[in-house]
Amino acid sequence: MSRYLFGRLAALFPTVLLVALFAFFLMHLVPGSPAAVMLGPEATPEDIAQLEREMGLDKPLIVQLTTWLVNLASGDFGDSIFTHTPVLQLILSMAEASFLLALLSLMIAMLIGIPTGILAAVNRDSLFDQFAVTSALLVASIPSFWLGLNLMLLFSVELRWLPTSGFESLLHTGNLANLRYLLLPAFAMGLPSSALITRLTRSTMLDVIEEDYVNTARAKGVRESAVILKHAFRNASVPIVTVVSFTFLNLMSRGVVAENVFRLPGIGRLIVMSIMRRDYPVIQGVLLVVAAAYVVLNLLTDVVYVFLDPRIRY
Amino acid sequence: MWRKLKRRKILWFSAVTLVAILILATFAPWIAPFDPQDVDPMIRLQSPSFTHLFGTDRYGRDVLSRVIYGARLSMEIGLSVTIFTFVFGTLIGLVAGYFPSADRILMRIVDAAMALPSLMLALALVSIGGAGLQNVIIALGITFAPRLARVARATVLSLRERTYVEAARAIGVGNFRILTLYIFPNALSPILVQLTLTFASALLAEASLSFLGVGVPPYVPSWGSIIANGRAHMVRAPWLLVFPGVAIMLSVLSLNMMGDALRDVADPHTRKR
Repeated sequence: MSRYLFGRLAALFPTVLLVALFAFFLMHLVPGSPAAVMLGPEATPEDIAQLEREMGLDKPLIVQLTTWLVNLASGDFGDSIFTHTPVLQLILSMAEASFLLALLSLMIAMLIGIPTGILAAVNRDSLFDQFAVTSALLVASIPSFWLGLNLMLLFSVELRWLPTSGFESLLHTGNLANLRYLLLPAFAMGLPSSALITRLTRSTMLDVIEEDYVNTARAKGVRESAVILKHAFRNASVPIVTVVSFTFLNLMSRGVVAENVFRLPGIGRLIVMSIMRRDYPVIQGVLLVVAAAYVVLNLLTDVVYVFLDPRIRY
Repeated sequence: MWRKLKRRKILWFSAVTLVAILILATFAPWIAPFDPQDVDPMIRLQSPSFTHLFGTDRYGRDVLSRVIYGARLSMEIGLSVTIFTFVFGTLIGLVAGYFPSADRILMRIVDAAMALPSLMLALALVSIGGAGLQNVIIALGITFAPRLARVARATVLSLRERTYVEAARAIGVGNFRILTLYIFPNALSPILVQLTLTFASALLAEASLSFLGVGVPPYVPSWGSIIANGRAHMVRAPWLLVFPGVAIMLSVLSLNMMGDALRDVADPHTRKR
């Protein structure tokens, strides 16, 4: 297992390097001088030249690239052009809202998707099954920002049960009641995401329910709930874990929209503000951090497989 | 048999809905009752009425006309992104699937591209290129092409070992002809399924980009920007959210249903479900 992990970590290196290269060249795709674009049309040639010197943009491309990679390796993602704070510090200060939002959305997606998928598979071709499949298609088509606005209209404006916007840190206050700021955005993102989980759970359970060992368990007199959950679901869980992992990463990326609707101080809002300000070091940093999270999470998912299915050995 | 018929019904329903949306989009100048840019402060934020079926927005513009023109933009972007994705994704997938040496390099690049968060990447690319139809299409195409490349590659990997391909190689058919005449036509089914899902995802992504104000210029009517502009008045004028939102949902739903039905027909493994 440790040899496998070491091998996977080594294999991740080319992917991470390519992502870093792409993030580096992103800034250089800007037509003209990136410094001129960042400072806007009012900037003087002296301002542009000074920014280019500060950012090292006056050096040859290969020197810029080497410096960029060396700095990255030591955790230096550069400074924000707008706020002059280190990019990594800025991202970490806003990561809590994004991470909690993605986690809560995922929990909602799983709480809706997995039981619905199991029940649909167990009651195949029934009214519930047809309802579950049709609802999954319908729900997957709902734009999360539109759902968020409608939820805000109903629960915040009409019923006044939940706040329309804002966020208070859970880490600093330790107050779980602060999760109320995340409930509506999490539901807005989690519901559409539950569709894929529902469909995949149903599909893999249908495959597993027809296996001989499930019929054997029934023949031995095992309770139906134990047959479904302990025997069938456990064996169907590997693909479900894959889609759950993919859903989490998708939620981290799509959190941009929910954070905008509900004014959450997360990295999604950070990247939108940075795009408006042409703050390219922050844009590069956010892309890199989220991509790194994707790569690490994929590795963790592979490790989880081993615990779910003892037949999987690396 | 009942399931087959049901699936066909779904296919018909989704096809009819899509065709209706395409007709609206194509003939928008003749179907829309008003110019979507016509401003009239005297009738701002009017609720749906006989004259303005979907009401008016904060500038007094007819929402129905803007939704119809929004369909035009969404279909244009959706189709263009799908074509872009088809061309580049299929090309990369075919080459990677058929040539092992190219596979190692191309799949590393595809893995790296898929590691980047898609919506954030599209935002960043549009910000670099500037707002505009072309840049939105390229940005979304770049984010969706890797996924199609993986699907195409997986299909080619299995087709490469088929007997008819071996036979073609044995009689001296060149690699280019094998790829274009033997492998590509047989790889089309899963690619087409993925493309309908790509179209649906492109519609959602474009709506999200327009909603965030990073996409086409704000004066161009798009479903996402209608919702974004209506947000400040959604309590007083909820129709500004309802109609464009339902339009997005219907379009995406019909594409997802079509992709589902196509997958059922194309993949015998799912047919039994």
